[in-house]
Amino acid sequence: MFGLIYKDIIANKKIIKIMLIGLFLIIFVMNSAVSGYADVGEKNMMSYFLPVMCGHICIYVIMGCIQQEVIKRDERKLWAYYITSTPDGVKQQVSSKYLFVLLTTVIGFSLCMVLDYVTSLTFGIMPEMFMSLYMLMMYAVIFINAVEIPFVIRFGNKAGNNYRSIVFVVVVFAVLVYALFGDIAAFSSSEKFMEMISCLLSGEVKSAGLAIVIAAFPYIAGVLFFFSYKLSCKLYLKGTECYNG
Amino acid sequence: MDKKTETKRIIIFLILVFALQSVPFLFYKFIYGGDGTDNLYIVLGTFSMFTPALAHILTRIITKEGWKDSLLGTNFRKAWKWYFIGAASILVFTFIGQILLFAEFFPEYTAKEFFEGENRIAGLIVTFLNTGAFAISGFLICMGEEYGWRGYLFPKLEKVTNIPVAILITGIVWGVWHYPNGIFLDDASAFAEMLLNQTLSCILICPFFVLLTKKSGSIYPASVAHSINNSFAAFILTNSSIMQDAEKLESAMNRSSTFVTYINLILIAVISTALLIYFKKKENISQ
Repeated sequence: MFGLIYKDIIANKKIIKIMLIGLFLIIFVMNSAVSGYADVGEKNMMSYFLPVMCGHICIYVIMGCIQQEVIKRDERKLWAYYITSTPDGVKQQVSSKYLFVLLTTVIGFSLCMVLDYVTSLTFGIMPEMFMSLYMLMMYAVIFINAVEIPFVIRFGNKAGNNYRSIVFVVVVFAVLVYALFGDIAAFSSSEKFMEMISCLLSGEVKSAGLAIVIAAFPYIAGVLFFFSYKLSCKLYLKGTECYNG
Repeated sequence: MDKKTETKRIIIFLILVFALQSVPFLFYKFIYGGDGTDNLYIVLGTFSMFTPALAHILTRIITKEGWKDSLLGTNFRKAWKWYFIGAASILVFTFIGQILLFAEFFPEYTAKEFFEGENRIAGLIVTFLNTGAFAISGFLICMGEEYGWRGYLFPKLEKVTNIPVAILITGIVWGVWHYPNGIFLDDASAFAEMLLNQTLSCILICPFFVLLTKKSGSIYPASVAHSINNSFAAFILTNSSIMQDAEKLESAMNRSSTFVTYINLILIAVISTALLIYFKKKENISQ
């Protein structure tokens, strides 16, 4: 399995290098944006929070691109038939992909923490203030991957792209509906917005049930990721019919 | 490999780990003039948790010994039960320790009074789940320590001496390595007390992490257990009603450590050491 991960890294090293350079550029740009606010503008938490969150989203998007490239590279019938003929071949192939996705997500989380530390030093605040949110984001990415990867394994990379597009459209639609009909008092000023964020992070939500669901989400994502792997092992051979030569 | 070579490697590792740990903090205190309350100190503290792993990597590069037996594989299929044993055991022992501590320090409270307040059960469940998720995510940081102590120092010491002595030396080095925690304490006796408590705790918990590492052939179970131990260390106090009351909290902070605080660690040390000796004897018989 680690041999297959090594193979994936070597086979895709060009794109991985380009993506990693992009990642460090993002950390540099976001840090510069934050330092610009700290030096010139009004030093409030929003001027720290927004650039850092944008940076984190960019980091996870880039990690997603790397994951997509690695999974796409093995979508060939010749490779699929070869790996299936080896002992425990399907399990090794699928588990190497899942482990790669998990590793890159964790590396993305680590880079998000580096961004947080560097920008908090620049801005002059304590680091890890939004640690709960960063962690939730990481588990959200694991959750999304857990749902997406079986689609990709069974129907190919195009299905995975369609899935991501559908998720994006649904999220944007939900945000629009909330903006039109929901309570947007928390977004009327930066202080109220930051107050809402800190209530969410400290678990001070109105409903105890909602608080428990949010707290249990990381475990749900982890368990789902494991069952997603089991499902993908069963779907792998069927998925090879969609591959090109 | 002969004992002389292994001893040289250990010495190089120790020099590197203490140099990497000490230089930033000493620079921070004596040249930068920091007082341990700013964000730079926190950043340095986080960086220092990776110094054992860094020292391990640098030692292997300097001594050109290669990367065999670096314990970085997960071995999850063969050793999955040690991941769960590690996580569950450390959680149980951490809570035993805290319950004993509060039974001694706060006999005037019943359990209900200790946790009084609105939505306490829901709040406790939420905090427990959040702390657990933090602990699992935070295992990467603890891997920075485990990769050095159980990933390199202990295996090398085991080749030079026997298991109990190797555990003792690893625990002492690990404990003394924590000395920057006390560089802003006012007097020498407070610093000495902090260092002694820290070293004793490290010596007592070291056999458990060694057991997890040896039986799993990987540093990850010990890293997860280490992270859980750090995350849940003060769970009961920080979620009690005492934290909401400034007077009660000040009274809590003034109560000093006693032998009771070490009972759970002594239990875990005795059980782990006994298991290590048992497995070693079993291995010798089968050979």
